[in-house]
Amino acid sequence: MAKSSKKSNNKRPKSSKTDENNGIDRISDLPEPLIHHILSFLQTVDVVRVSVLSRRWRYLWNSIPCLDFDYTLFSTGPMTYFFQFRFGEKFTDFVNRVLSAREECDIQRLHLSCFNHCNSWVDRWICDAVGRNVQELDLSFCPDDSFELPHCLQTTKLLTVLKLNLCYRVLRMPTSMGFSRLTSLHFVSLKFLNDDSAREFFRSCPLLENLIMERCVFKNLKVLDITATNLKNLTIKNVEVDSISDDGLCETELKIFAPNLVSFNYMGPVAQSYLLKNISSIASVFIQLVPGPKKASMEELGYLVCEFIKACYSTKVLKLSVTFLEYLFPILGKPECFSAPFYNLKSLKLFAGIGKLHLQVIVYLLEYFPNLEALAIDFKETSKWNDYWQPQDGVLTCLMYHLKTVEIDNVKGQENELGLISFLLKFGQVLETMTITWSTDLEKPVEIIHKALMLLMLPKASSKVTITFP
Amino acid sequence: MSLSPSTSKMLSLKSSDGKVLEVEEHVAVLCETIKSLVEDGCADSPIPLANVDGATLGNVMEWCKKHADQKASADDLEDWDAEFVERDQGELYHLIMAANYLNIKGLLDLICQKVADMIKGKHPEKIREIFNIENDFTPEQQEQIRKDNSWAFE
Repeated sequence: MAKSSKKSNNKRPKSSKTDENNGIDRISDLPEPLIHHILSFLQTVDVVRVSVLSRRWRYLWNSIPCLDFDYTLFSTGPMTYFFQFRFGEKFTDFVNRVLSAREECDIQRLHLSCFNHCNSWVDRWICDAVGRNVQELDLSFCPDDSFELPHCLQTTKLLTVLKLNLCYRVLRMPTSMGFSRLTSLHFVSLKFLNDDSAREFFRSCPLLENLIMERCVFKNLKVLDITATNLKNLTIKNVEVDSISDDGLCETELKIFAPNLVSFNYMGPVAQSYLLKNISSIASVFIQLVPGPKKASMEELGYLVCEFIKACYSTKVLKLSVTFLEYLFPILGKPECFSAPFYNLKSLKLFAGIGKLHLQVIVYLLEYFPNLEALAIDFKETSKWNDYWQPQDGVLTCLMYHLKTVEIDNVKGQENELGLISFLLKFGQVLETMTITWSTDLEKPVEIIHKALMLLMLPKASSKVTITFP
Repeated sequence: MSLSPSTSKMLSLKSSDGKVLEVEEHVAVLCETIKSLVEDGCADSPIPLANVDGATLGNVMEWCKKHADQKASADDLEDWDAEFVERDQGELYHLIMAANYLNIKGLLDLICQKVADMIKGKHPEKIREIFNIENDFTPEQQEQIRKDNSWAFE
């Protein structure tokens, strides 16, 4: 069907759609692996239920490669405690029956999500899946106190993906664990036992490429030591409001040795300290800081975030949050701040407020990014510092030779914003496009047109620049 | 392999019903099957695709073109994909077969997810109606299956 007619296709009444199928059963005609692929997007309970459709569908569920048991989707509607208990039994029975009905078929992926309703079964189910050569395990449950990875996992050479959510309980590892093929590890809401066990876990995964730690509790750790020679993507995220893990790495040193790290996302409060060694292959860094409970002085925080970003000197893409800019402010221009330019940086995205402080930090950063080609600033953040800012004329290497595109979002048309825009236009000698998106707070079209006209009339250093207002 | 749009040449693809489609190479190589042909240097003038009809090939290439566009944001693509899958079952069937034959994981997953969403949480009778599936069980067999799998139906 041609693209142009698709919109109308949407609006066509259902009955005509059925007519178009001409009563033909297309789905049963698909080869079995493709039906399996469709079924792999469904909860296993739905997959078992299609066995009554027709003979074609009778035994498909026995051999589906992906099993997905989710307690929340298994039950329907709110339940009293008694019914939850009964339902837990029913859920357990369901999982046991599906697992025991499988004959020799391998399990590619097992997803299990069951709160605390089947704690006594989890080990057995994991080992059952391991016995069927499982490659991906995604487990989410609430052990009573702590969870120790079952020994059967030690023998598996096939596991490539492990995701574990333990409702903030402690993860214990047997000694001499080894995940020889594991490439992706995703920890959610779990508590590390001690420095050694965390460090050894990462070391026991020689092929690890992707590591995500979300809402993890690091309170028991003095140092979070991630030594992983093949690690490419790392995300540490502790930004949930009201969660037990709010402190993130506040009391913990973050130590990373990852010579092949390409992308690093750090979201949460500032760590106690940063020891980032040999991350020179890094290409993309996103730092979203949130205020932590720690009572450090603004200056101390400034030095910490400065150390952090200096270690990422070789990145090509950098994204920073407003809190980062505010922490950096007190130490701007001090000798300990930046010592060398970030020569590789090509693309910078900032979430900022429109206070004098923010704009000073932005211009300061531009000085240290001599090869910057693309700059994006989102003025969405509100801030308590809104003093008037007057840009100082000055020559910035990136503005003279490299900066081609500028995108500014959520512009309210206030003086400081216009000051920054006129500064970039006045000195951006090779600027090609400047895209300005107005804040939705600006409602009057007249106001917008007036401000837009003003911007269009500003002096421009580059003859090629076009200003657009999408 | 990096093929930038500016250096991309055109490839001719020939469908099962003899239609020839000219497609930029950097778009066509989203199909792993075509990519291997290009890499092995076997991609000379019309590449015959015996299992894909012209209309489906057009749809597949429309998807590839959108997904080869490096300027499209993730949100953009998601909205676009949601509209792309709004099709009748005949077209969805041919797209699944073509995505499988041409080895385009992203497109295969997209369409299979769409079909799975049509099954999700529905009563078997409703599923039969949606997909025109004929119930070829005898009433006795039907009863037996329900009994055997009662643990899944209650």
